Amino acid sequence: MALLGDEDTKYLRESFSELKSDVGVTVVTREKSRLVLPGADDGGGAEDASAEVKQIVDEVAATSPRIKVTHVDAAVDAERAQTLAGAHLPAIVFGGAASKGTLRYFGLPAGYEMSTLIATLMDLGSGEAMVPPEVSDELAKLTAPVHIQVFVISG
Amino acid sequence: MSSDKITSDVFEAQEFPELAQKYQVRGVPMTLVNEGAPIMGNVGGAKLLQAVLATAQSSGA
Repeated sequence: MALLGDEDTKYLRESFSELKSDVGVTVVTREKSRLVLPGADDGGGAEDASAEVKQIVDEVAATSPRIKVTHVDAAVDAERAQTLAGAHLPAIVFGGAASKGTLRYFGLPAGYEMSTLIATLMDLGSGEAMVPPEVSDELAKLTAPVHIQVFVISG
Repeated sequence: MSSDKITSDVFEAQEFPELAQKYQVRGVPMTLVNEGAPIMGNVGGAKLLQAVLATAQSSGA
């Protein structure tokens, strides 16, 4: 069953028609194991929002040829998953033509956070700097890592 | 993103309760810069930049 309705899809197609550059999105998830273990309720798979994250990103990306999605399954490529997302899954890792640094969303961008996903794609694909030049100049002077963590709740 | 030194992560707190507990998330949104003092509520660009630069200065970056 699709997560996006027809109206949502239409809105996204129109919004993303304004994208001026490609946006790379890597979805890092952990697939549920197909191995059925005796006594296990769910076949021994990880219980997280991996399946829903994959689905929503795929559905959103299908509304624009500018949004390029890559999938990484931690069960298949643990090293790459670790490099991209560290210890937390599921993760959506964003990249754009002019983007530096690392930008990630961990969990399912549902409810109000769906607008975060959309806005991020719009910003990265705008082809424009997201901060004024004087701010960019200050940030370019950084010589040590800076880790920004923002905690939110969907809905 | 204007610097390759910056990693910016958003966590859905209910899906990562161990992190919410680790950082004592009592309300959202909550922003941390290099695991420093939490900034509660929406953080505008100017305030975030200030926090980033202050953190960089204190770490000698």
